[in-house]
Amino acid sequence: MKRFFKLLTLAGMLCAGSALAQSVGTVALSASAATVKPGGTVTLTWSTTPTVDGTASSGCVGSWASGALAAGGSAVVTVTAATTYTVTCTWDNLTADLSWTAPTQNTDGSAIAGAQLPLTYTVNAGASGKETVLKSGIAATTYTDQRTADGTVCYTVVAVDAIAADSPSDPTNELCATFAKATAQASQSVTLLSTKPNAPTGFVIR
Amino acid sequence: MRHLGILSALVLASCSSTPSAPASGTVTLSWVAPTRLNDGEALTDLAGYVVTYSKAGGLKQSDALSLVNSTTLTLPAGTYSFYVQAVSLAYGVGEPSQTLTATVP
Repeated sequence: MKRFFKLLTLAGMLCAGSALAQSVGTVALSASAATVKPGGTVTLTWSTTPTVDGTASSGCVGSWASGALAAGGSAVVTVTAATTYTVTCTWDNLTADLSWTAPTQNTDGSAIAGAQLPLTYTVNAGASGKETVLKSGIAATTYTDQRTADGTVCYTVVAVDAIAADSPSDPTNELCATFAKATAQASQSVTLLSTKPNAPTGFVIR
Repeated sequence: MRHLGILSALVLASCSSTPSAPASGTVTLSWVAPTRLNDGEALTDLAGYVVTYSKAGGLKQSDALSLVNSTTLTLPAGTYSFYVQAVSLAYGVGEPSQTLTATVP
């Protein structure tokens, strides 16, 4: 058996998960009423798509609250003046979900089998064409890379069989991802009902 | 507000055709307190009134009053217009009454 095997290098073999493709999220904010009496309450409801994960570099803040908000929820606020409420959410976009297809053949066309199994995988990451080992010994055909900074990172994957003397496969296609924080904001204005006393009646000059 | 049309007609019939202010230069205004807010709820915190008047072509002047139902103004000769508004502690100054005119000789 020829032990030098090679992963298939079909285009798209290394696939990006949703997080890798994630760019700008959306946030929605609504109020239970657009107009209230002075001192009245409204319920503000917000949500994020995709859901903000609330890590140190992501999350939501609301103009009506101090501290971080949940990725979605509702809050009751008392309105004493016309107010525009805003919720601002930041997605860190620093997660890459990678997946690939397991090879089934060696480069000589023979099936990968027997002592070669199980296969493991090594994910390489770095600048385009200059990827270095990020993680080896991966048994699954998926890997999630959590970055810590913005920037562009390219990935390749190689397969390694269980025979230590064998060479790893050629790398897959290269897939690059750009990581950058994204921020979205939504606003909702609440005005005060112009409630006022009725006019006096019976107004006369004597 | 619902009764103002009728009241206005009565006032105009009795007051607008002849000078209704006394020759002494005083004008006495009276009104009935409102009992409701303009959204239909009860007015429970009436704090007073604001009477606003102006001479024809002149600046408006306002007097803040407590919980009274009439006031007498001493004014120089001239023709004046008047209206009154109730004041709520929570909701502020209310809708104006109809505007009446009177001439001070």
